[in-house]
Amino acid sequence: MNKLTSFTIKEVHKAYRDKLLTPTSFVDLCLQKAKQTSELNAFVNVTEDVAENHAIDSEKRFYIDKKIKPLDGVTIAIKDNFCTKNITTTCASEMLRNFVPTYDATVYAKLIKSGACLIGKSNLDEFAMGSGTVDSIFGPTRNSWGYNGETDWRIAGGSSGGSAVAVSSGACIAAIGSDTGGSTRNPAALCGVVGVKPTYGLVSRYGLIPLVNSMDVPGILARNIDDATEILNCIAGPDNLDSTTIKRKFQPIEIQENFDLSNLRIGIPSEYHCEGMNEEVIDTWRWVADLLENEKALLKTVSLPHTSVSIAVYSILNQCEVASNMARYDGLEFGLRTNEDYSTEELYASSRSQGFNNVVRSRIFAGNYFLLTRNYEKYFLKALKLRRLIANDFNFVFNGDNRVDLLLTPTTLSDAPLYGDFVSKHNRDQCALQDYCTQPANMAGIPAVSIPIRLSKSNLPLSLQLMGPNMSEQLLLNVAKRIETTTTTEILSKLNISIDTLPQKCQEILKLAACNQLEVDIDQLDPVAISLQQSLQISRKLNEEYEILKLKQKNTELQTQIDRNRKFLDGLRNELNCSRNSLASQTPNPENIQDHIKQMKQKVASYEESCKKATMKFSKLSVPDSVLPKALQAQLSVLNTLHEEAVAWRQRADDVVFTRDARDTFNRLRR
Amino acid sequence: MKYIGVTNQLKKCTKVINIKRDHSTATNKNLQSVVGLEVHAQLNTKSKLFSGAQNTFGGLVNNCVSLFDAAIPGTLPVLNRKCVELGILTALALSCKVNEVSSFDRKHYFYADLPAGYQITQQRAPLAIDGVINFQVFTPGVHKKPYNKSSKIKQIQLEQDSGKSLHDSDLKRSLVDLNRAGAPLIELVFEPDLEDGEEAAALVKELVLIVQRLGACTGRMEEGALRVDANVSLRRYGEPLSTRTEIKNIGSIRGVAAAIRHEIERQRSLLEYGGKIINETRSWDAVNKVTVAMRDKEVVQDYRYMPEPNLPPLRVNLRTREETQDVLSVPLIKDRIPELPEDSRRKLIEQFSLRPEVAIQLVNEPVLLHYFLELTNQNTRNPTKVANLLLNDLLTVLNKRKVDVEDCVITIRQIRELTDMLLNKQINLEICRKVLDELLDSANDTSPLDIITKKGWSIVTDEEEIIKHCTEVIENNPKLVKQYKEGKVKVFKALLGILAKNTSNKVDMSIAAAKMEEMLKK
Repeated sequence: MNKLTSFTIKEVHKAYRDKLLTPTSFVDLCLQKAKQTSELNAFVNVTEDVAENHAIDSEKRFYIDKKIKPLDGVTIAIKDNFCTKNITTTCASEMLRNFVPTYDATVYAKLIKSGACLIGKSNLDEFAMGSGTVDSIFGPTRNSWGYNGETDWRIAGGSSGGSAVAVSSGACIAAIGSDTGGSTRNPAALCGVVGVKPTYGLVSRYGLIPLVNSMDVPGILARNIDDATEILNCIAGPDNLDSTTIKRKFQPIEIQENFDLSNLRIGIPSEYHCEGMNEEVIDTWRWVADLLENEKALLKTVSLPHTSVSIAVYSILNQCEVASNMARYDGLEFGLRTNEDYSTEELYASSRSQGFNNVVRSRIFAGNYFLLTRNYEKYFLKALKLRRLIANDFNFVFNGDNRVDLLLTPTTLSDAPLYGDFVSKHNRDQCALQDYCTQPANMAGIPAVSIPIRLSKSNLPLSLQLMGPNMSEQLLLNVAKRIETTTTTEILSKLNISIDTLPQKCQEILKLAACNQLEVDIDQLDPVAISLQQSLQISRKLNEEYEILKLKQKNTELQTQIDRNRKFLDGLRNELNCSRNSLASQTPNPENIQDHIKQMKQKVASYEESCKKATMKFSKLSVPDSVLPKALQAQLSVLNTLHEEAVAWRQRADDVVFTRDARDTFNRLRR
Repeated sequence: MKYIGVTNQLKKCTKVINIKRDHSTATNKNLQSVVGLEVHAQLNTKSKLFSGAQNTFGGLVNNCVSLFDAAIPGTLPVLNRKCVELGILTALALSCKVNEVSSFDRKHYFYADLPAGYQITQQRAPLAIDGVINFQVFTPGVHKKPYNKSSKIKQIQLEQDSGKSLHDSDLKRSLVDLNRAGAPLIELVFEPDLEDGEEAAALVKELVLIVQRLGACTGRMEEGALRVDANVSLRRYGEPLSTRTEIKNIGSIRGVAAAIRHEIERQRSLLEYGGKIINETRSWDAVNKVTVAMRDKEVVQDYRYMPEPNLPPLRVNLRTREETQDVLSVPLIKDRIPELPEDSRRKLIEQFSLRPEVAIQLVNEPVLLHYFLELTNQNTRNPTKVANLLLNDLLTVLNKRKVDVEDCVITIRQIRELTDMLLNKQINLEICRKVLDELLDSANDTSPLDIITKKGWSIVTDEEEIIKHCTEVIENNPKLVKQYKEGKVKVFKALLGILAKNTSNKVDMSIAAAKMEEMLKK
């Protein structure tokens, strides 16, 4: 089961086509995994029902409509600062704990439109302000690497730590984070997954609750470059709802199997070799540079002289935009509202102090200070100017005389720090250290990708970062893919360190896989194959059972039909009896009807006679009706009614005779 | 005593004297009042400035609100192209220089009807700058003759309107209606080029006429579609501007004149009694006719302006007539400017030889101007007489009934027929007014002639009949006739008066006068 959750998108789709897996079963596995690893606290909210619904939709498309979408049945996690319709979006803050958006972020909408299945909303630092995923109202997220339930553990990095752990623990194939100063690449590096920060404006920010509008980019976390590229192809492109997206139509990125690196110029910026950088990280950097040189790439040292001011500049710009962006949380339209009702101002104050943690509040405070009219030029404008210089550094390196195509740097200064060590530092220092290598790319808006390379001595992932000029994702990801492939062998050999603890069979498979550079088929992986065979059998059995059930169902249906017919017949019989009884009890009884008629006829005859007499009398008198005495008039009307009665009786007598005849006929027929 | 004190100090320190001199009545008359306006005009568009929500007045509470207008997290502004078009159109009509690149800023302050905690406006690089508005100042009863005035426009900027707060003091609750939140506004900032309330009112009137002609704004001040802030200060002639006060949100043209007049007087008397003007925001109390200090605006706010990061700079094409999805062509917009009030006035004066004040009054009332142009377009009717009819008679009738000129129901056909009858002397002025009054009540497009016939108002021009009436008057008033014949010519008018009275104004008096004279001289 474990292995299933390490599939790539391509492999999952192949398994779906071969019916070794179905989207619903795979989503179930992922949900299970998410629950099993709940200790890691990667998810703020596991969206079981949503995932299942998405899976059913995918399954329909896969097997019934046969219109397969690129991400059908691909499980994803979304950082909890992207709005999702009818699903709480908390930003890990008390302020938005109960905030249920009524709309979807463009990124999420595009993923779902491409067939992806949402496993859950992932944890983050409150409003993405941090680089450890330690400042969340839902508690810190733990790195799955080196986690064994002990009291101290490694941080996941941040602020998209939840997304990174969700991917690395196997709860989903890919996840969306946001990257403002390295928030996607940093946790990706510490958790050993791929982290992509696209060019600013390539992916819509609509629905992403902002940290720094001018630097925020939705980021991608995935297990490999291919998957990350697939996701990027689905979410990138212009969006009318975000005026800062690049208007040009997006050309999907294609990854080539054997990308030619010859004559590719790769720069090693000397300023990134900074104080406090771990020896192992530097080793890894050097090692990959050598590997690339072996692939005939041209490596050269370049200079980005303003790198060191980047953190300070970032700090000012970040706090200013935070102060501004957070102004909307006043408890009136949405979000936390306290019961303070002394005045509107008091309500603001108490809602905001209860709704935000210390980090958020202190950034708002500092930001408002920097934005005061008297400080604007002194801090904000100067920071903007320095930001321009940093961007110019990159511009010069990518377009100047001694230009390079890409830059290779470490992502983080070390492997994942221990939680205890990390939280002993102030949030500002945490970020300053963690974001040193990643943050300049956000200043310039350029794309960057963090690629896991190998394991450190403490068995933790070490990653490197590639940066390229604006809109260079095609080149960037192809080179990243090449680095991924060439270093895979080494990663697997590093895995061999602990191979003794694995079962014999696994050791053999791993060796085999290492030899074939992971180009193995599913069938060759025994445990996987077995489980797949099992599931195949199960599904066959299920099919048979289903057929039987269907027959049984038909049977019951027929039975009910028979019963219904029988009931109907009984009803008819009852009715017949009833009518027979009622006939017998009728008056006048058919037996004495003749006498009755005779009497009536006599009566009528006598009446008719007297009537005739009377008429004759009257006709002789020929007096107009109105002159007739009242008694006579009354008699006349009595006569009329008697006439009518006679007719009625005659009718009735006929009826009775008819009924009797009918009964006789009926009886005869019955006999 | 005071004066002696002043002269003594004169030798010591001129600075002190300046202050002291302000206190004396003698110098106060030398104080010049300086007025500058800021006008907010709501743009007449279907949707709001940055969202697709409906932009309308008087909708159901909180019913025209998009997610963005309520500042729901994660939503972003998308600039409404139509608003930029109308903004540029207005800017061009006011001879502004449209900026090739303008940008948006956030202006921060906390208020319940401002959901985002900031307003998106254009503080640093506005849509347009350096314009001018030329207008005529003429308030009948205040000015004898109109005079030209102009005010420079510092800048025109696009910005969002706020929502509306309602305070229920009984329930101790504040209620917020966000229908107006995010509605498009242009703010026009004028230089302090004006001297009094009448000039300010005339400027606002001219501005209303212009934006109405452009279709950029309804100009309905009573609906808050156009709101005026006035900055008022006093200074000695030739000296730099001194401390000003700002009167916020004046909601009518007469209000502008009255509020500024009051504020100038208030400042003048304050200085007279040794007070000091403080920089404050005041509001106009239209009922009690006074300006009052606004309590919550005493503290000077720091708006912590910051560039709006979610909107790229707004670029326009200043040179060619090419347009794209994101870049508007200014020359194309310029082509769409209609005839402006200033041109209309000039045309009326030059083409129809109207007096300037008549031209001003006609242009001020678009409905009357329309009547006028329709009545004079065949060159058959005397323009001055037509204008007088509209401005004196029609307006009097409407005012008497308190009917707004815009709601006048009289059709072109009716007014044309009536004017012809008057000009051809088939009826006299008095009857004309009566007919106008009737027309306001009558059914659609009733012919004025029908009314006259029905009411028996037609005028007598038949000479024989007039002579008959004259003879009657002469016979019945031998005393007056005698006086006249003795040389007292003045009584002639009295005789005519009697004639008019006898015939209930129905005889043509010009013929009657001639006949009467003729008969008396016999």
